[in-house]
Amino acid sequence: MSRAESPSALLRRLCATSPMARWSLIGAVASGLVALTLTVAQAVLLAHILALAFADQEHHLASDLFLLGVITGLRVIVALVQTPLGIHVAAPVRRDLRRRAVRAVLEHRVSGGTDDTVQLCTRGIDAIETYLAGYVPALVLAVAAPVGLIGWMAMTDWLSAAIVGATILALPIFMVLLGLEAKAKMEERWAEQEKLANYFGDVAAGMATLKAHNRSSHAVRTLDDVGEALQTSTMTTLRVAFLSSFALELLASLATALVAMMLGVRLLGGHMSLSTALAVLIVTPEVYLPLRRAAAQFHASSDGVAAATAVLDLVSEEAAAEGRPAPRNLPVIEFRNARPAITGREHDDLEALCFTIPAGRTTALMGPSGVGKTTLLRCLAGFEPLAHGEIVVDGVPLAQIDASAWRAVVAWVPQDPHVPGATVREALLLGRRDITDDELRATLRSLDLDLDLDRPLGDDGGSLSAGQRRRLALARALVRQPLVLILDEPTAHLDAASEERILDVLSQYPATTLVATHRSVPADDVVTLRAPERFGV
Amino acid sequence: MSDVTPTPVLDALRAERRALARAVGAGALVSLATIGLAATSAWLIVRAAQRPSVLSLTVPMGLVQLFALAKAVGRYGERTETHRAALGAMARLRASTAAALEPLLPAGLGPSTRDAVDTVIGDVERVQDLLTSVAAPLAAAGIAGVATVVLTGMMSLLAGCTVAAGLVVVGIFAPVLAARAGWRNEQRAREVHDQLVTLLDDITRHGDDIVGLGESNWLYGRLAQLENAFDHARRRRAWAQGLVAALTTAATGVTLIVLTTLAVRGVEAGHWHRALVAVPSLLAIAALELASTVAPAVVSLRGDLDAARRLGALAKTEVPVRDPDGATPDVSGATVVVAENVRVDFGTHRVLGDVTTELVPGDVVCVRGRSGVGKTTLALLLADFLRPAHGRVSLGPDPYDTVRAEQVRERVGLVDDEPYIFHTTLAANLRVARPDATDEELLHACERAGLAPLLSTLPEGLATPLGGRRDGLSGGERRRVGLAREFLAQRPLVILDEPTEGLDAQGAATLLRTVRDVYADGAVMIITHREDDCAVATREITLVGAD
Repeated sequence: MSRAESPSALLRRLCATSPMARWSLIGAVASGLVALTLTVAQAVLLAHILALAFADQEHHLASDLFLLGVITGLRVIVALVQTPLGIHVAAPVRRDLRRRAVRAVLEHRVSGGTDDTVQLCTRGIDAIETYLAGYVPALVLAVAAPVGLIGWMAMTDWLSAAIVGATILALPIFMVLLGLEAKAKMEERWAEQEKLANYFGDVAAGMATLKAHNRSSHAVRTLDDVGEALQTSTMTTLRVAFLSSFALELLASLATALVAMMLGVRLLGGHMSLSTALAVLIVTPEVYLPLRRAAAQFHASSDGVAAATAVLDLVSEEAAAEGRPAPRNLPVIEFRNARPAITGREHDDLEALCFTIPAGRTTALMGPSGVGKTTLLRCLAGFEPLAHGEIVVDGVPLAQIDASAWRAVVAWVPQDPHVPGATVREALLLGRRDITDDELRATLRSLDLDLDLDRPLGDDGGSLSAGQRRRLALARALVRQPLVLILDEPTAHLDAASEERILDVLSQYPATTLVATHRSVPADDVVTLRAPERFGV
Repeated sequence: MSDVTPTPVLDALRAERRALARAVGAGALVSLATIGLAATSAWLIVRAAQRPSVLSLTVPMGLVQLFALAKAVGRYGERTETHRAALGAMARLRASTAAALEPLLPAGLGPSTRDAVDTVIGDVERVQDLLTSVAAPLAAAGIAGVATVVLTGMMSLLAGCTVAAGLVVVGIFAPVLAARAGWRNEQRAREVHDQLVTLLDDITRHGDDIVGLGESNWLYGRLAQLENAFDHARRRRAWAQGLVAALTTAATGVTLIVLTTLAVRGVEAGHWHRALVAVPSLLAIAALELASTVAPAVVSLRGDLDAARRLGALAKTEVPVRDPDGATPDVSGATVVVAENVRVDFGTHRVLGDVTTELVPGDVVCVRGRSGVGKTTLALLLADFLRPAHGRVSLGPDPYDTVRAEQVRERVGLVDDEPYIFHTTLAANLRVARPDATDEELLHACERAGLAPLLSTLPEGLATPLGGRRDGLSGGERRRVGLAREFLAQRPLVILDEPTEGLDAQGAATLLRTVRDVYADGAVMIITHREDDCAVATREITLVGAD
């Protein structure tokens, strides 16, 4: 769990990031308050009807019952729309945050592992929605409802209001007294329980590894012992921990009892009307209900707060202002003292590169593996900044060119390209509509790739051979008619015939091309990277 | 699926039946006290308005306090006992599930083992929900319902029937509706959510490949499409929930109106006890509120039962490798593994077709072939995790089905393509292979497996805690940990599944040279799709498709 902010600070950030969040919250709280008002109205009316019947007074039962029916009707409407409303209003917040989170991922503003990022973008963002549509309104209502209801009581019957108010005020003190001592122990025990759950997950997920070393039966036995020992120790702490909810329950029910008794005593003395007494009696339990709801969601919320904090950290660093336009014709690309940044290595290990790729020409980047060829290509594609020096395109530093405009004129083919899409056509088009089937077929043919456009591809091009996939990725780049072509080992794992064919196509392709390779390719220029002398292992 | 009884879950619950009975008892106390509190306080107030002597009110006043206390105490008891039962049942279920999984992994759960194991882990955790948020509320609501119907029925048969009708709608009809509508949409939302996870996984792993073509909009488009589908399912589910809530509110309101009318008319006609005029209305409010907790409980009940059923099915899944009964030959000196004409099918799909090969001391065999051609299946056969449909595998002269799997695995090691890293220290992760290994031995194994650079970055060296699937190790580092384990286990025959995946050419070559040297007196099989890896091999096998 990452650091958690206070709910109010978090909420301010959430509303600042996503303006819809405020409306989502207002809607949820408002519908809660309407429901509450209707509850009070129903109680007053019911008390009125019963009191009149009791006193044998002349009254209009039919019209009162009709009114009760109207209130029920309104409550039905509120009940019907409350949940859908919450979803309707919170969904745009979720979508907005998810889109921004994905943008942050695509712009490489994310640190941490892949699994963490995926978790954050899925569960993390869903947790925000739950937090926004569920916990925060519950929390607001847990404050607003008691205040409002006690306020109403104070106007009708100050003594009952005082009793209920006193218990509400005593509640936090009570809970702190009981809960504080247990809290530290409690967290420790939960951590142990969690460990046991993890231990089971570990044993289940790592079973193959355990079996391979003949350790699985031992692990299964251990699981049995650990579980029983933990049950006993955890129960000791749970008994203490549940005291805080016991306090809430006890105060609530004793207050209801006390209110009923005091109402009875005053009715007995003739100081109070029955209708007031009944209304107060019906409303009293409602004061504690929102508190109980909020308390029930409390544990789930702490995950939501942590997730929300992390997601907001992720999306709040928006990208800088727009850059300069990308080139419209085949550009000249200059590397000036360029040195890529490679994690875990001293930058001084790598040599600074100075070379120019003339417009429409091909430069081959050669050198042993590990010298930073791929990283340099990634810098040119705009995925990573250089550690030192600059790349200049038609006289404009690449860092100043608008990133998405630059990517629109560039095509990058990595070493092991990802080929999503259900069919060959889909994989090539990726949603583009301005490329005709004829163009696609011509490009495939030029790469010696005899594939039907409707051929299904399977998961990530799984039904193709490695060589076919590689050529398909190349075709995907070429049909976009890029001005700049960036290729990482385009002919690895290809047989000699297809390699020759592809190199032939590439050498004639009208684009400013940088190709990383460890074999010799027909190029206009060759830049060779030296292996660094010190090589940290 | 439906004919499989969820026995492991039932067994775990049966073992906790005392705690469960106490929990249900405490829950019943809460229900009865709630009903009692509502009825008594309504009676007390109206009776007080008749201004009788103070003495005649001492009984209802005492009862009100008693019920209030009983309600709080009962709730506390219910929570504690429910959790006790849940903790105990969970511990048992975890143990029995692990025992059921043990013979099945890694080859007995079908093609996507990892997903299957994740499902099992999730299913086990759901049982907790079954107890804490399903069983207890259902029992409590049922008891409260019966008590209310009896109480009101004693006042007037018609009133009793009205409450019963209201309770049936709120406690049975609405929950069934909620379960039916909720479940379908829940499933749909989950499906879309899974697709969303896959897409985000693709984006984080391979997003650059698409962005580098200037087609990031395609990714946003796919994201928006899935969000739309997700929203659609969520909205439908929300409306179903709204409908159930509306139905509950409407039923409560109508019951209240009818009961109030009955009581008022009864008092006017003189056949309803005047002091009891408010009792049915207040009783109905309390009872119907308890009954409204049934619907959410029932919605999760269906998922919980499915989970329990899947765990039951797991216990009955056919085990891929069974040990022979009785005495087994001594194979502790065996150094040769022979596979003859082995063939494996998954359903109608042939995964491996008629392969014959052997591993003898001095061998470094390189197995190549495109993905899906059965390379990993061959490894599972040789390590005795799977038995062939045809043909046989033998350790020396003894066929695998005449020796125990543990005996085979004392001689044959398999490092799979994703060695698991446990939530514990690096040292404990390595000692899985040899519990009595000294720190020096561990360090030596690490060094040979190429873990020295990793070890130098770990703050506490061998004592650094690592953890589970998100352990902060790269794929290459995990493979090296798997290899270090294998070095510690010191088995004469070893199979390495994709040992060089995620390593650069130089790292791969160094690693394989070390492997060759370590197993100079034994035999190694290297499964790979990289041609360069075969440079160290004494022999090469290329698997072609079975079809």
